[in-house]
Amino acid sequence: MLTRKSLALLPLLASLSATGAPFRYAEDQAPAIVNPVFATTMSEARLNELVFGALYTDNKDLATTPLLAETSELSEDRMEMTISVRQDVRWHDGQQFTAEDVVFTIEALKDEGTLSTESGRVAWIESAELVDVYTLKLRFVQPEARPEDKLFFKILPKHAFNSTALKRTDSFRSSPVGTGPYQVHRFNDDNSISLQRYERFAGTVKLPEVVMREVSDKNYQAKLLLYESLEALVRVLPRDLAVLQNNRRVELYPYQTNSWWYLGFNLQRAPYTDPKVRQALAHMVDIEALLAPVGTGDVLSGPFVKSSPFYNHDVKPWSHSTMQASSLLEEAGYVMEGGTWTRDGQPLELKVYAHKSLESSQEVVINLQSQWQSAGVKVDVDFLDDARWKSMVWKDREFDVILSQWSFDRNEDVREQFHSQGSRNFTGYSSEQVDALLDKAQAATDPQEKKQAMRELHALVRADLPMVFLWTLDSYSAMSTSVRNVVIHPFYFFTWATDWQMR
Amino acid sequence: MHFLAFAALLGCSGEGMETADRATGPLDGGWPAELAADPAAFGTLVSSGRDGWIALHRGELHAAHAELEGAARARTARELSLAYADLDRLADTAWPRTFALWQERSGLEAGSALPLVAALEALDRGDGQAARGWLEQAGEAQDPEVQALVAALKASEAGGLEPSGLEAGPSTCVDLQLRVRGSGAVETLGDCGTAPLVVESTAAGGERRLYDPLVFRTLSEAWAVRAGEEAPQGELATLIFSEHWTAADQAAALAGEVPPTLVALGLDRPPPSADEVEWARERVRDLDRALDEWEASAHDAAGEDGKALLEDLDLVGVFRSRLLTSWAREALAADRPHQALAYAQLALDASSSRSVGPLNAPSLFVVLADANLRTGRTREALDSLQPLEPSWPTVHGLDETIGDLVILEGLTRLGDSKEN
Repeated sequence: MLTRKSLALLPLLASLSATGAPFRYAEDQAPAIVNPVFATTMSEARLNELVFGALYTDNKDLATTPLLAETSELSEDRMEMTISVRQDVRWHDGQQFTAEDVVFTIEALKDEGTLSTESGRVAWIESAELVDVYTLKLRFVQPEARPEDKLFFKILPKHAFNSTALKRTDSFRSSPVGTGPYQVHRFNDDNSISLQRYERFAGTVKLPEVVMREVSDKNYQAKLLLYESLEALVRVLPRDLAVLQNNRRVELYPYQTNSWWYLGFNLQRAPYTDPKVRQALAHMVDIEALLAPVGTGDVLSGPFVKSSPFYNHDVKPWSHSTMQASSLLEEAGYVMEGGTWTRDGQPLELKVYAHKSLESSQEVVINLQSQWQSAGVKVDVDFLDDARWKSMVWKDREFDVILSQWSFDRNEDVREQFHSQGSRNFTGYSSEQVDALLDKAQAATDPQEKKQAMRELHALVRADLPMVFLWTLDSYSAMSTSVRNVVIHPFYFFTWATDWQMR
Repeated sequence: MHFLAFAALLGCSGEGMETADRATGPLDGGWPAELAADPAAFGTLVSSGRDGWIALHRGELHAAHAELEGAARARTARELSLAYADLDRLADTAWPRTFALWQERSGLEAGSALPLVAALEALDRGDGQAARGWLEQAGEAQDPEVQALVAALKASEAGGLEPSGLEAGPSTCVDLQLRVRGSGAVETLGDCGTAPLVVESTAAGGERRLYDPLVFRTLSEAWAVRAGEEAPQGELATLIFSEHWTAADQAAALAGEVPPTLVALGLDRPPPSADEVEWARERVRDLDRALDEWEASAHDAAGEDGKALLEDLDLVGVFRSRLLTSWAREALAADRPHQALAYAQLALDASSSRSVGPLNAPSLFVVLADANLRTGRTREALDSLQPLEPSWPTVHGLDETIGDLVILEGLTRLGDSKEN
């Protein structure tokens, strides 16, 4: 919240303001890695949009349009596509971009040695072969109606890697080379990243320099924008919306990204294997009270935002009821002793992890800790940096409960989160019914059939409770009016940043 | 907050006109100026139908219409007619796009009533050629009541939509709507227009719900009848909380001319030929500069009651939001959807964007949805419609239909998800 007290910061902030007119935008946390094959967060996806290119992209009407592809031809049986790539594109290190880079990227994503959650992006491609230096042929697993719609994954330079088995630790992470409008100029000590316009980019780029600034204190971001030390906030804290909206030097842009917050249980770990314990913990949470300090939003009962065609409005969120929680814990064999639930002499205790970069997560976790503790559960909390988060949550699944947020593009495809084989299924959730519904939805061509399957899934995952679904926030970006010609992509944000310019 | 202002004004001091020495400018003399300068007159006006005025300020048009009388009531009926016309225009884009893509990407299931619904939509939109194409396919419908309506439509020589005289199945609702368009008797519609026009079983054992594509034109025309052709213009009751700063602006807008206040402010410049977003944003910035300057000066000059009105009812904010909505509507009509999107986004009160309210009138959400849809942001169009669902039950069918369109558009794509 902006206060009079913040005015005292004005001279300091003004001194931070650069004079060379770079475009500076704030992220809660700097991307941990600049390699699209390993991108897992929105901040990484946004930066990749500036640095890397894909065969196809969205135009401003969100229709598929060629980017690195020049022409393409789909075979009559729709099983093969021959693509000619542009010959006027160079990598940021000056090397020529070729079809070989595309083939390499597909093979790298398909390589089992590449531990990427992005491999599903090429699972529909059976093979990629080089026809000549600027032409490649794709063969599909099954007929594809519009394969160009799926060729949005970013292309990597073959010459920058030794093999198709890519690692997060490859040196590429600190010296990324793309074909995008900006090249990484410097990783700075303050975690900011300076990007410079790639002068050999095959197109017009108006902003000469872009700086991604890590501003982990969300409360500080709005001040930096108001005091002109930033040109853009990617996500405005909902409680700052009114202040920013009333400032004529700032304009707000809706940036919903179909995001929802959740508490995820580790279903592989006792006592969260017991649905009664999960239900009890869900009943102990007063979601409205957790949301209030964060801002305005919608409380959710399932893994979609309320405007989604998949949201099941007949399903209600878990109610806040300590009485029901007590009954469930008693059924699960717990007794209340000295204000704490215990079973076989062991207290019900858990640890909540949240990613450090999740906006307002500290406030939410502390309030959650208070709610659960007052209901008789011992709670410890920890805020993990990206390396620990990736290790403990994504890789080793070493957690009790996590607080996190998922963002989805317009497809709102939750398969990776809830399918038993899903690459983003941290909770270890496994349901034959849900798997079948996800398969059905994936195969459906009738929109209402797909809608019904996903609404059924909504009801099932709410009942099975791998997660307590929390809320979606009012999500806006804020941009200084000194930046002109701004149109933001609803998910990747920077897709059309080449047109942006400073006044 | 605005409750307080209304309450206070009902018992306000009645000091009469609070005058102040100020240089006259293009914005002096409009309804916000009149209210700020003479809050007692406003108090007198709203003392009759207080709840209706509160509802009107909040953008709750149906409730306002039920409570208000006379010119204010007629004006509310016109606003309802306009809002439904906005929905009708949105539906005119959404429905045919959905049906065409359904046919292209999913194929039409044999025996489905979908071609009939598409034909009804095309007929009502005046696209006879498309309607004939759909009717050819509709002949295979399994449901005899659907078949009967298809036969009646095929037999019609009028080339448009006319009553079938049938009294079963979807024909009942279609005929009723055509009658209501002339009579204005919206209350006789019952659940016609809100419930699906057809519910049918799918081959996969599910259920397909096809919603009524006629309902928004029906309601727009019916509310226009209710408003009456001779409804008074230019009265304060028809101007308050509107996009017309003055009676002259209102008259000009109704005549299809540029409102004189906008001319005086230099905001009447012709748009560029291209659909340039920045041009629209700059126009809004110019408007904001003028409004901010006027509001500051009006605030200084106003008495306590006048200040309360300006602040608590956010009179200038309400005018701004309504004006930008009308600019968005004009941009849509001129096929400049990116500019329309910019106007609508700048009109929206982001701090309460999930509900209808003083700054977020129903039409704003509709033009925002329309602009989103026409710029390819089909999924975002659903975000825009969501606030209307609780109090505009007919929107549900459109929402479901655009949801189908979102899914159809995504059938060939891969989804992406990321943390945070």
